[in-house]
Amino acid sequence: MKNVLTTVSSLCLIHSSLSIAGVMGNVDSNWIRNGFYVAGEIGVAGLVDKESHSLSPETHQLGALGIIGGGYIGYEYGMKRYGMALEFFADGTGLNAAITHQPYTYHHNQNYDLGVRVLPEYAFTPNTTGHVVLGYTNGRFHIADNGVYGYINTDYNKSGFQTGLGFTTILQGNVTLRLDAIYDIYGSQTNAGLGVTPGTIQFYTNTFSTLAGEFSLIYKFS
Amino acid sequence: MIMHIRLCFFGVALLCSSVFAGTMGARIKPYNGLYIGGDIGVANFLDKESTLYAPGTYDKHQLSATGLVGGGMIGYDVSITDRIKLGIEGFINGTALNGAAEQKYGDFVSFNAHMRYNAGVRLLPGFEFSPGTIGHILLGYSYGKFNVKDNGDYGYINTDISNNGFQAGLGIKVPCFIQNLSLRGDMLYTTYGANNSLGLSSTFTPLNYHDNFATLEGSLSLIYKFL
Repeated sequence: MKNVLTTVSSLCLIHSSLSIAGVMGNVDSNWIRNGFYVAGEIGVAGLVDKESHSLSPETHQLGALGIIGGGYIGYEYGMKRYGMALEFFADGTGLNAAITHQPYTYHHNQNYDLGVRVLPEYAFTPNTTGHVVLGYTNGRFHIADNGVYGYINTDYNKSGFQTGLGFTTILQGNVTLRLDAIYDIYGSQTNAGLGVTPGTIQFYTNTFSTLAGEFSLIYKFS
Repeated sequence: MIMHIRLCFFGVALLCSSVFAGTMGARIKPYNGLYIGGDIGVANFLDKESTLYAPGTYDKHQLSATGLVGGGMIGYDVSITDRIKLGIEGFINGTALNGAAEQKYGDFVSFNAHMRYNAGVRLLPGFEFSPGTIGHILLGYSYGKFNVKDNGDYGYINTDISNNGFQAGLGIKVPCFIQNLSLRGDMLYTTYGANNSLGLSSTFTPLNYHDNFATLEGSLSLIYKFL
C-alpha cells in the first residue's frame, strides 16, 4: 500500500510539472496572426514646403500643422516572431501653409495622399509588435498666389517615398491599437505662373514633405 | 533498496516541479522604480512669424523645418492599480531645427528661426494592455530656447528667445530583449507662447518681430529601470 501511494504521488507530481511546462508557452508558436485587416486612423501632421520662385528669386521653408485622417486595408503574414504586412492607405489632410504680404496671400495645401506600403514586423511579446514602414505615396497639392510673388492657381499630384516606425498591441479579441510615426518626402515640382509685372512669367518650385503621428484602430479577420 | 529508489524518484519529481513553478513567474514582476533613458527622433519645427511695419500693415510667414532631435530623460514609475500606471519624468533634448527665408539676389540676405534645445517635466498616465506593454499619454511643461536672426530680409534682428510651452502626446512602451530594458515610442506636440522682439526695418525705424513656435516630434527611446 505504501509503495502504491509513493508511486502514485510521484507520477502526479511529474504530470503536474509537465502540464505547467506546457502552459509556459510553446516557443515555436506564431506570435503574429495571419489574416486580412481593415483600419481607421486619425493623427496630427506637419507639412513642410521648400518653396522658391524665379523672378526676384527667394526661397522659403514654409510649413503648417494640422489634422489628418483616413484608413487602410492590408494582409499580415507571420512566421514565429517575424512578420510582414502589405497595405493600401488613403488619408485626407487639412494642411495649409501661407505667406501674406498684405493684401496678398500665397497658399500651399495638401489635400490628400494615398499609396501602398510594406511593414516588416517583430513581435516583442505575443500581444505586441514593432514595425518599420516602407512605401510609395502619391500626394495631391494645391498652390495659389494672388499677387505676393505673382499669380498662380493650380493643383497637381506628386509621387513620393514613405518611411516610419510603429507599434501594434492587441486591445481585445480581433481589435488592435496601432501608433505610427511616418515621414513622407515628395519630388520637386515646378509650375509656371504670371509675374507681378505684366508680361513676365514666374516659375514656382515646391518640394513637399510631411511628418505625421497616427493613431489607428484595426480589425483583423482571423 | 526499492524503497530508497522510490524515495529518490519522488525527490527528483519534487525538484522538477519546483523548478518549473519558479520559472512560471509565480512572483509578480515589480513595476515601481527609477528609470533613465536616451531618445532620438525626428521633429517638425514651426514658426508663425510676422513683422509689423505700421499699425495694420504686416507680412506673415509660416516657416518650418524638419530635423533631428536627441536627448535623455530620468523618471519614476508607479503602479496605481494592476493595470493603471503613472510616470513622472524630467527631459532634455538638443535640436537641429532651422526654418529659413532667403533672398537669392542683391545682398543675399536671409531670415532664420532656430531652435537650440528644450527641457521640462511631464506626467505619463498609462494603461497596461498586456504584461509589459503600456500605452500612455504625455502631459507636460517645456522650456524652449530659440534664436531669430534677420540680416536684411524683412529688417534687422539677432536675438535669443526663451519661451515656456505646453506638451502633449501619445506613446507606447514594450519590453526589450534584456531584463529591465524597454523600448518606447512617443509622438509629441509642443506649443510655445507667442513672443515679440524689437528689431530695425530697412530704413532703421523700429520693427516688431512676432514669433509663435511649435514642434511635432516622433521619438524612439531606450529605457533602463532600476528594479
